[in-house]
This record gives sequence, structure tokens and C-alpha cells, in this order.
Amino acid sequence: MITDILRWFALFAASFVLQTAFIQTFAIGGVHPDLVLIALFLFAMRFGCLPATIVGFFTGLGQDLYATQLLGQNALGASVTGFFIGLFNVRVMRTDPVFKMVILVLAFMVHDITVSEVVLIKNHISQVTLFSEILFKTLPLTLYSMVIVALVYIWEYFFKPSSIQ
Amino acid sequence: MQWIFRFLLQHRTITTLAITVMLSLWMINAPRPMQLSVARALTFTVFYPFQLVLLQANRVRNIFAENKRLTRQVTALTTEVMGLREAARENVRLHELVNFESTFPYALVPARVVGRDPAYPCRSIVVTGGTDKKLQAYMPIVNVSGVVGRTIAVFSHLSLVQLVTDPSSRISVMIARGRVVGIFETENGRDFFMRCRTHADVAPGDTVVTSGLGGIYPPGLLLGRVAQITDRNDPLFKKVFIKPAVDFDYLEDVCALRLAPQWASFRQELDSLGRKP
Repeated sequence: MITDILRWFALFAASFVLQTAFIQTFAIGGVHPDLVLIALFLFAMRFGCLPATIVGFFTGLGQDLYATQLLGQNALGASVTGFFIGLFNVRVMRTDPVFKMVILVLAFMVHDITVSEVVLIKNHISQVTLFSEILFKTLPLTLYSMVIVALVYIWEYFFKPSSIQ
Repeated sequence: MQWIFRFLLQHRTITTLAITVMLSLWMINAPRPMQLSVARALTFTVFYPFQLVLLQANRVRNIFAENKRLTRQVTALTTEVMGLREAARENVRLHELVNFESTFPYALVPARVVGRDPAYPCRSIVVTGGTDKKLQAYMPIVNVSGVVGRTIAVFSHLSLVQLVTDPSSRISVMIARGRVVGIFETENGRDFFMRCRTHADVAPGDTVVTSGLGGIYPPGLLLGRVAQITDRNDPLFKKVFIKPAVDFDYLEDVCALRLAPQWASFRQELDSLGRKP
């Protein structure tokens, strides 16, 4: 149990540090993955809504502290996203990889729509920009993140057969 | 009161979501100074370990960035140093040329080698300077070491120079000590020799200079030194091998001797002789 907690803590800490300090290293054509959201996705799929909501809130809050944006917008986005992903966790339903990818795409949409909506409402910006935001920012980011999640599941499938039971 | 706790425990997932959402919305709508104070408080309490890790990570990132910048700088500086070294070498060469020019009694036209015969040994070179610098065919070409060759074709800005390594080249030379005259020639572009009588006063190490005969090279230009003398099976002549003073593999800056008037009058004389019936 403690090992599990430490392992997940290390995963979140690493993804948080990489996302905050080194994310441009992973950028391809200006598009970079959201490592914290990927970690949250993996966590929520494993543990469900309640832990995912709390963890999402704190990771989002951490991101808010190191971003020059509104305090709380990422906390809101990540906690809602954590709750959303947790609804489809492995304890509730057995999901195949394709379905997991669909959830991942939806989770990124939920996160970005929530964060963007906060910004748009707070700054009184037209809702039209939300569409372009999703089309040009969220989709490439989601595709990149999907590749990473797919690699994680491939690694789990081929090298950790016991963990998918 | 108990039913409230029971309700919250029963619906703890939704309650947690509601609390986090409300906290987030409160932070979003809080005035900027309060946001800053909350952020500061969180940074120095809950997120302090992350702050430390991030600080170290940023230091590492900065080290990588600095390393990259320094590598670029080193490359640029190395290139610059190489350029400066080349300039220094050129400076030394040109200084030598200037000294050479000041001690040389003939009018010199500096030229730079811009092309070489790809064959080995090299038989001809192309140098800068042509009719634009009043060069003419059959002008001697020298460098700081000695005789290099002669121009054989002159264009507007370039001249073709036949080196003394060309087997078809012949130069009238003289042993400076014994005043023995001979023809400096080569059969393969690597071994240079002159023939002289068996009893001629020639010894290894003697300086070989141009004799001034032939109309192209003025007398006294250094060609090389006697390296070896052979007189195999020939009662009349011996073969004197000469080591040229010029290294023909490293020709960069040369000078043309502007001896056109002497040569022109000599050629006119020859032409006039040739035209006589």
C-alpha cells in the first residue's frame, strides 16, 4: 500500500517537474504532451473518482502556482477531469484499449473546455475562440498524449502481464 | 447534524467534487492580492518540496542550456581562431614577400596561386594577375625560395605558369661557385639534373642559379643545390642532380618578374632574325 502511494507520488512528482521545467524538450512542432494529465488519467483509471478528484485538485493547484494564470483554473479543470475519468475506472468496468483512448480524448476535452471556459468567462472573451482552442491546441496535444499513454499500456501489456489482470 | 455527516459520507465522491469545485471557483474569483497570498502560502507549505525539486530541476536545465550555449560559442571561437591563425600565416608569408621584394633588384608583381595541375608532380599552376597587371607570356615566376617557373599564357585576370617540374621545361643554369653552365631539366618532374663536363668543378652542396642565358630568366636567381653527382659509363659528361629550393607542393604566393622590356626587345631581335631571308 505504502509502496503504491510512494510510486504514484513519484510518478506525479516526476510528471509535474517534467511538465513545468522540461516540457519543451519533448515538443514536436510546438506540440507537447500534458504529462500531469496523463498521470492523472492513469491514476483515475486505476483508483476511481474520489482519489482522482482530490489528486486532480492538488496537481491542478500545483500547476496554477507555477503558471502566470488565474489561481484555481487548473485545479478546477483537473479535479473535474479526475472525477470524469474515475467514472470509467477499472473497478467499475473492464475497458479495452480503444475505449481507454476514447476516454483519454474525452478527458482532455473536458479539461481544456473547463480551463478555457474559465478564462473566457473571466476575461469576457467570445466563445468562438473555444472552438479554435480545441481544434488547434487540444487535439494535437491529445494526439501526442495518446501516443504516450499507448506506450504505457503497451509496456504494461508486454512487460507487466500481471498488472492488467 | 448527524444526518448531514451521514449524507456527506454516503455521497462523498460528489461532495469531494463539489468542495474542490467550490474551492477552485473561490480562488478564481478571489481578488488578485488574495490569490497571490494564497499562492505564496501554498508554495511555502504544501508545495514546498516540489518547489525545492523544481529549483534543482531548473538549475539542471540551466546547466544544459548553458552547456549548449558554451558549445556553440566554443565552435564559433574555434572557427575564428582558425581564421586568425590562417591570417597570421598569410601575414608571415606576405612579410617574407615584402622583404624579398625590397631586396630584389627586379620589379615584382605579386600573384596568388588559384589553380593547380591535378597531375603529380604538378606541372603547371594558374595565378592571379594577367594583362590587367601588365603580365606577358614568358615572364619568370619566383617566390621567396627561388625560381618557380614562367608564364606561358596570359589572360585578362589570370596567367598560366609552366613550372620547372614540367619535363618540357629547360633553364640555363650555372654553378655559382665554379661558374659551370648547364641546362636544368627533369625527365619525371621529381629528379632534376644538369649535365656538365667530367672535369668541371662541381661538388655536392654547391648553389645552382640561373645563368641569364636564354632570355627569360635573369642571372642569379636561385634554383637549388647540388645533391648528387654521377658519372657512370660516360667519359665526357657527368650528371649533376639538383635539389630545387622551391617546394612545389606548397605554392601559395608567387611573384612575376616584370622583365618585359628586355624580353620584348630580345624577342623582337629574334623575330627580326627569323624574318630575314
